[in-house]
Amino acid sequence: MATDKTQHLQQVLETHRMAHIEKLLDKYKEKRQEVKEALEENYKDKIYNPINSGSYAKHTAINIKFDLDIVVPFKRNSFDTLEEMFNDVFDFLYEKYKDVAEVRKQKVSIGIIFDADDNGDEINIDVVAGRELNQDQYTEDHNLNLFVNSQYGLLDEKTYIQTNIQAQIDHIKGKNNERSIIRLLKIWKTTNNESYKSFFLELITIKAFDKESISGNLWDKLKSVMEYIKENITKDNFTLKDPGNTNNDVADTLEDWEKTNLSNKMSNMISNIENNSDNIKTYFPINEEFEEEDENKGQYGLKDASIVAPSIPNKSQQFG
Amino acid sequence: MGFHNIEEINNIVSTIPFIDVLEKFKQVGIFLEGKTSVNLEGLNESLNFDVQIFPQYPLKSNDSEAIKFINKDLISYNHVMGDGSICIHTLHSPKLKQKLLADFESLKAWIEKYYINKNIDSHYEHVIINEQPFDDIYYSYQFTDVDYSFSKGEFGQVDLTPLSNGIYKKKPISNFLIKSFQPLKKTIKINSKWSEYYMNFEVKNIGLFLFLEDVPAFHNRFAFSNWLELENYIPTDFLQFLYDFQKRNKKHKNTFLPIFFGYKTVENEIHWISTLVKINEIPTIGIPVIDSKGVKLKGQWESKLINRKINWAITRNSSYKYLFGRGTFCDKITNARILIIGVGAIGSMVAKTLVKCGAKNISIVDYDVKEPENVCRSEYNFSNGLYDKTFELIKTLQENSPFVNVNFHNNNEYFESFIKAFHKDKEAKKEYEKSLNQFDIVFNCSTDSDLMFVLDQLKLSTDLINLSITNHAKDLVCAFYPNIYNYVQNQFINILDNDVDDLYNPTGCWSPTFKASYNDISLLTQYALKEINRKYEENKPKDNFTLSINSGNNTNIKFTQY
Amino acid sequence: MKIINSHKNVSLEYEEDLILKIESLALKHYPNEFGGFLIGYYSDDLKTLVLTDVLSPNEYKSHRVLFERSAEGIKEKLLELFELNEKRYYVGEWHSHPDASSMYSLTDLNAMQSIAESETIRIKNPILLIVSINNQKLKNYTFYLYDNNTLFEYGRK
Repeated sequence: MATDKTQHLQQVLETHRMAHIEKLLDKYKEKRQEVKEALEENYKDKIYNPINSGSYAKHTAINIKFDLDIVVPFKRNSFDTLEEMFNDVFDFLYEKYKDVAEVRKQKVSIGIIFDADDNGDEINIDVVAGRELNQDQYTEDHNLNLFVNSQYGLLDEKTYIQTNIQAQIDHIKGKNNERSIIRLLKIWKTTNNESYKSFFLELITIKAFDKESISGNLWDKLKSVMEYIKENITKDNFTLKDPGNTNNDVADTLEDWEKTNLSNKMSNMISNIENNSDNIKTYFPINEEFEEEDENKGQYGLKDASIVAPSIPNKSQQFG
Repeated sequence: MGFHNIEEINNIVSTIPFIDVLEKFKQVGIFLEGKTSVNLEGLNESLNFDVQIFPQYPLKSNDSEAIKFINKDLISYNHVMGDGSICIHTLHSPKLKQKLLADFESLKAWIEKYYINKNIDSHYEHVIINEQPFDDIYYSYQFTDVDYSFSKGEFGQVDLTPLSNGIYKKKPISNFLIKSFQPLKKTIKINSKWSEYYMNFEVKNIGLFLFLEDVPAFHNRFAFSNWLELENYIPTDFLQFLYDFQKRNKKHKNTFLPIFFGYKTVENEIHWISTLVKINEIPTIGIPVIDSKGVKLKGQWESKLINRKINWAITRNSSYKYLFGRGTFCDKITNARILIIGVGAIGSMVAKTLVKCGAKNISIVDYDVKEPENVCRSEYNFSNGLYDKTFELIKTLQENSPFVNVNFHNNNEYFESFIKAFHKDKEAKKEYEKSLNQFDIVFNCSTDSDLMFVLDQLKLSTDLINLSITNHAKDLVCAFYPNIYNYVQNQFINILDNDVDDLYNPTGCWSPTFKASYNDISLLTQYALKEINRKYEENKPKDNFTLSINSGNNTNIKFTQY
Repeated sequence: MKIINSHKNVSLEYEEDLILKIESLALKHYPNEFGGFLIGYYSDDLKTLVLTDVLSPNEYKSHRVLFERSAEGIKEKLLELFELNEKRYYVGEWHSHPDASSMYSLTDLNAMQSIAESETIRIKNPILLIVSINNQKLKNYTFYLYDNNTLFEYGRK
């Protein structure tokens, strides 16, 4: 029994769309709004408007594992140190939500996991607190310094990292082909319990499209990106510049042996799928929860997670 | 009776440049004997060897060369046997000339290495002992490591537990383990580090021990053969102890008493050799104590060793290092606490292989019973009859290694019914996770898809490895947590050729099983275990893999890494 | 007006005015065929497609039983529509069948297939509207939903 790889991948993307979990997503959005407003009320003019970020904002979210992110840009004079800022935001959120959620310090963010509601849904909101580098500079270029709470790539514990959430979001804007591949790789990573970071997969996919001519059907494109990863990740001079901070090389977050493993993994995946197309189901499984609904679910089909780009007819068509 | 062409041999030997023939080969009984002298650079004077050629030559006999180079003056050198023959090993050759030249060449190599350059080998050569039966019965004693360092001259009692009796070199043999040592002057018992199973054996015999520290052998190699030679090694208080023991045990006068002498070998390792003496025949005499003026002190006697041949019994160092010296799995596996769920065909092979490869701590769980028809493709024995699988396997595993502690999971229904019924309950789930996480490695060999599904849902810190086989043992699927259930399902349903129409239904539709022989299953299981061991040893990622047998013109096994 | 596609269980909404606009475009080119792009938006739950407008091609070839529209210059207009606060975008095609039924032809199916498979088209189910006209008026019209190489008709509830 052979599987049509492209058709399968399309169904994989389809069944992992956020639209399938609209109700849950609404709960998320509601909670995010609530957290946002609480932060605004507490910090008033110490902060600029909080912005949404993360995979949902980038339209690369998948419905099996996601969270909503809020970035809170603090003004330069709000706190003396980034650590104070980080701890203050944590203390505030902890006090506010300790009875209804688990609030914990993460690498650069504070995670709030709300207790499951009556439907068993756990809402997961990540708050990233950042501070502008200089007085009033944020409004001009959106650069922020984040406090780093633990080992993060090559950086030592308890230091800071400069980033630009807006630039990261802009980096993927309009890249529909890339998005499909990023979502597929995220589905692979999540369902196969791989530890690679989504941001890493996102950047390397965009770079692959940038460096190679990637075309053809969905499988052709996915395969080209996997081949690019396989060929390049172990190269000494391979870098992945964080669009939010070009001094930050995201490829450095992997140890050499992890890079070798990733390269081998890509090689195994490609050859196993080429040898037997059914193997694609192991690496890229359909989200069975929404499989039934796929054909007659009562939804118009999209090639992306949502309407992120207009459809443009690009050639003449004859009608009879 | 001539076995060889003497002239040809003499001709060949005469052409060897470093050899002078002193006496040509001639037939002596069934042997050929000759005398040669070796001249080599680095030798002050030439070395003479009597050369003896056996009828089998140029073939080997009983794993020894059928040619001997003998010089009794060389006995103190390495690799020289008690009769003065040099221990050489050369390549096999059925061609007389080639073999003869090679053997003289290796004599030359021995002279250069051990006589001229006085090399010391890095590996330890055991003392050469002529092991004897006693009253026509052999006795063997196996010992292992203890957590104790004996001091020179320390002595006391040894507790022995019997293994089974058998036949050895065509004579009866009684086999024993040394269970513990009790030094006379201390109140401690020094236990051997055998597994619990063996330590629970009853003590049926005792012996005496004396730690000499020094090697009771000439040239560190040829064990003493007369009690008098031990005179400077055995302290008088031990002889007194021996005498007292004899007095106390007069009614057992014809009983053999094993006496163990311990000494240090390399890296502070201890070796024991043993002899047996009848209680009324201990090799001492009492002589009066004499003062400095040569006057006998009245009523004072001391024991002295007498001139009598020592017969040595058999001892073996069966510590973990020696027992598993020829090969084990890597430490990460042998030292791991391992659980095996399901000990049918695959599980019992996994268990036994792990134990044979040095695993020290294994737990097993299975609700099933062994039926006679299970025997043909598992590690179960027909002789045991019907038996709970777990109990029989524990026995088998313990019989295979004195260093494995085998436990059986306290509830055989645990994975079969409880975990499936309660896995959705949060508290119960935590309990299951806890009970599994106390192991380092868990093999699920149950081939139970439901259990696979349930286990995949748990948050485990243990390494869970799933092994399943398709019908006819065409393929083996090895999957690692947390990528087990979906992967195995996809393999079985879509990828592999699992023909389930042709299952074996021995006793009705309720117990179909796959068709495959012991050879089919063990081939794939062993291959999988080898790969699993490699992943642990080389720290490779624990990625799933499959093995598939291709039977075209030849049998091939295709390995696919996922 | 709201009509249902029972194959995929989705609905389509449009104002009568839009049909009037299409009718007048079609009649203007009678006896030749004419057509263009359908503009609209999906509801957030993707269950409903709302048609808002049509966009006529800048260049086209029109015959009695053949209509060929080019895509020339359309990109800019569509990008503009997409930037609106109330996002509008391409959702399908329409054309007229003068003095013929509103049944689609093989040419129509092939065109829709080619459109759906085009990389620059980001929707999976473009729709096709065929209006049957005579020299005086619109006789009837049919909406089709493209899905899996097939066109499925919308029907009234």
